[in-house]
Amino acid sequence: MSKEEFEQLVSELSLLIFNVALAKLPAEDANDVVSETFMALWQTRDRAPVDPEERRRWCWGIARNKILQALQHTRRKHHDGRFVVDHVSADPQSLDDPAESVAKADAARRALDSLPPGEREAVTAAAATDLPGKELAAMLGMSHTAFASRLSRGREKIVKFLRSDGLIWEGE
Amino acid sequence: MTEPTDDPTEEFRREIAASPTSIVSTPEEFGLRFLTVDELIEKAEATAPGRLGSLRREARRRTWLLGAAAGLTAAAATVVMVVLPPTRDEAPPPIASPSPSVTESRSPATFDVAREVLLAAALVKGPQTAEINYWQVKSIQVFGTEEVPREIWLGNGRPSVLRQDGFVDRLPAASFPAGGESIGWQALQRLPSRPEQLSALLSRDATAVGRDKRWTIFKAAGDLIAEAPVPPQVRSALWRVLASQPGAGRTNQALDHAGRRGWTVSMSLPAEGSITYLVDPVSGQLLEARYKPSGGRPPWTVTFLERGPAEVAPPLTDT
Repeated sequence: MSKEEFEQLVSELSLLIFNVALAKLPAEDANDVVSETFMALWQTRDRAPVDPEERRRWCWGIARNKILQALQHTRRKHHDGRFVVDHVSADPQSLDDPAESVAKADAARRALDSLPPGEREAVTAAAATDLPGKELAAMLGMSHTAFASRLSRGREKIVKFLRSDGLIWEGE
Repeated sequence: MTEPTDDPTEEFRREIAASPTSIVSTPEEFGLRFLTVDELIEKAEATAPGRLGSLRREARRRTWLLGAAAGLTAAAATVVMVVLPPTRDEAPPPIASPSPSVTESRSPATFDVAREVLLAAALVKGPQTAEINYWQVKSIQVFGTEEVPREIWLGNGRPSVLRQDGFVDRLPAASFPAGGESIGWQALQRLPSRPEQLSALLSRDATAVGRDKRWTIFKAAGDLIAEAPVPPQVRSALWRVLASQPGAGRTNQALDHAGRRGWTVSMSLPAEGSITYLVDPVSGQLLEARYKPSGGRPPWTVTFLERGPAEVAPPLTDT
């Protein structure tokens, strides 16, 4: 895998990995998962598949493992009162109106959290990347039909959730 | 089921682009950023494969520092340590040859009331700790079926060392939360030796952090006995603080994770969960602490195998 190919994966998948990890981990850990995924990818680049689609799926597999490892680590520490401050995360920051932005971001995250895992993964993948649905489905290890179905169901629920929270989308 | 003719992905993206809020979070919202490609490559090439966990340890250090700055150590009510990544330009502590005491049970006595167990433990004089180099505690944490050995050398005015998860990490000199404040080794030596004063100090922040006062005292006293280098008179006072708590009622004999026999002392509160200490009244040692948090979180146990003064700590993992 060349540096350009590596760079493309970083560009395509960083935000997706961060958001999937963020559903389960504090933001700092989610950010570390992103870094560790791509560092592991670079360290094993000689074994990376040649086919771009396969390579993307391979990277996603590494990311999932990193999320699981981080989750295991966090759970362990979470039980341990000696490390209670380990779980204090920074508050979200905004350059504009912090209160409003945080409220909206919270509502959006709650909307995502309200989805079943499969739908959440599909929605996050669609929202956090520019990849076509077919390629996302392949990366996530599901059929295009299953991906489209989960995305549609997730989308409907998110719209409903945001409407109930007073954050009605334009055009809806 | 047939393949969809239209890809709903693009339609979905158009919708969320028109939304007044984003369902996607960025690291910048949390004051973070992604590493650049060059930074990733540089770090990847400077880190041995399989050792990427060091990144998370760095993050942990940052978070702990943040928590401490916000005064949140009050909630910990136990030994606070800040992991510092090993640095190559600092000389590591010398090779270990610790000599802590083994926390074995030698008790043939019988007890009916937990208070008697605790008061008996209070009579056992522990070692002086003001002038020692390190306080070493060796334990096994059990999370479900997973055993995690842990060994710590708390440094008296020198870096501490933690061996866990396959790493040996440098920590700063030890500090200890006491009633919402973080105190150093020498201040630990000056904690009150009268139980009522010590109890008041340990529970000073209970109301502020919204915890039950009894729980705060029970846990804080147990944590200090478990891992802190408290001097003999304070150790004795801590046992007596526990004996004065309402949970110090019935007691039973039980075996710990290492198969040693001790006596149980428990406190259980609906909002907090339950803690059971397994105590050897003859050696005056806390053998094991069992935690059952409320809220459906899984229980875990820490079994203390050794604790006591040590001259030296082990060398750090080379990361």
